[in-house]
Amino acid sequence: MISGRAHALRITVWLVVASEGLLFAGLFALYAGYRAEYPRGFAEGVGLAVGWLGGTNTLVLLTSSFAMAAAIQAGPRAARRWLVGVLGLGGVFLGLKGAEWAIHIGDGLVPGAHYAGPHTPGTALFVTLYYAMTGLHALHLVAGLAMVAWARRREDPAVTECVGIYWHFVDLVWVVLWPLFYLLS
Amino acid sequence: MTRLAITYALLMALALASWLVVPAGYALPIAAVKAGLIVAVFMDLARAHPVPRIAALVALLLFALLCAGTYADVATR
Repeated sequence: MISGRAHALRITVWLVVASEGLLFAGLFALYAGYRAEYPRGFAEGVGLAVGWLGGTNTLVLLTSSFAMAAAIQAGPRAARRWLVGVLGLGGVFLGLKGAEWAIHIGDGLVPGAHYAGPHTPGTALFVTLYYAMTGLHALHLVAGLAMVAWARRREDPAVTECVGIYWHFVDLVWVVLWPLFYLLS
Repeated sequence: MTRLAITYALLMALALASWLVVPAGYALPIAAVKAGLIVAVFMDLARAHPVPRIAALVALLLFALLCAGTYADVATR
């Protein structure tokens, strides 16, 4: 009975992750289409990124994914300690992301009428996509943190495993976002 | 745990390489490799039940279809 419940939970979370993946896929396609139309503007947009914050956040999130995978393999008591690590690293990611947004907002890189960045065609669009896609990712991360906190309280291996699948998905999305907004100049 | 630690070390090495060493043009292929490692090892899709594997495969196929449609649009402008 318990394994049947675990199986149902696992399939449910995979279906959720697959549909969430398609949400991001639409945004990636949008990015690709506009990047093809405005290659110079997008390259200039990538040049505006705070590279060390994006790189550090990548390492932080990969480490949190490892901690989550370790929590799933560990027993319930050890899993609680690993999950504290996941919560801490998730918090660090959000803190750095907030600092990065504050820097951009201070530089006038905001979407809409108050945009004060470079006027190369496409750069303002890049900035809008940057906030939309990294913001949506951050929202998923906040939801993931809530789930991790819940899994830590439940001490149920099936719940921890399902929350882990979701957490890895959030990491996966960032792995693709990082080159698009920080590396491909 | 050894399998996880090796995967983690590989992921970190790939991330550092695409950040500091490798030309930017390789960043997306490296990201694809990292994504594959996360899905196969951390998410354990390689050993999962067929239903999640089918769900992931369908999502991947739809994503590929979306990419192909976008490419077709851009290439024929």
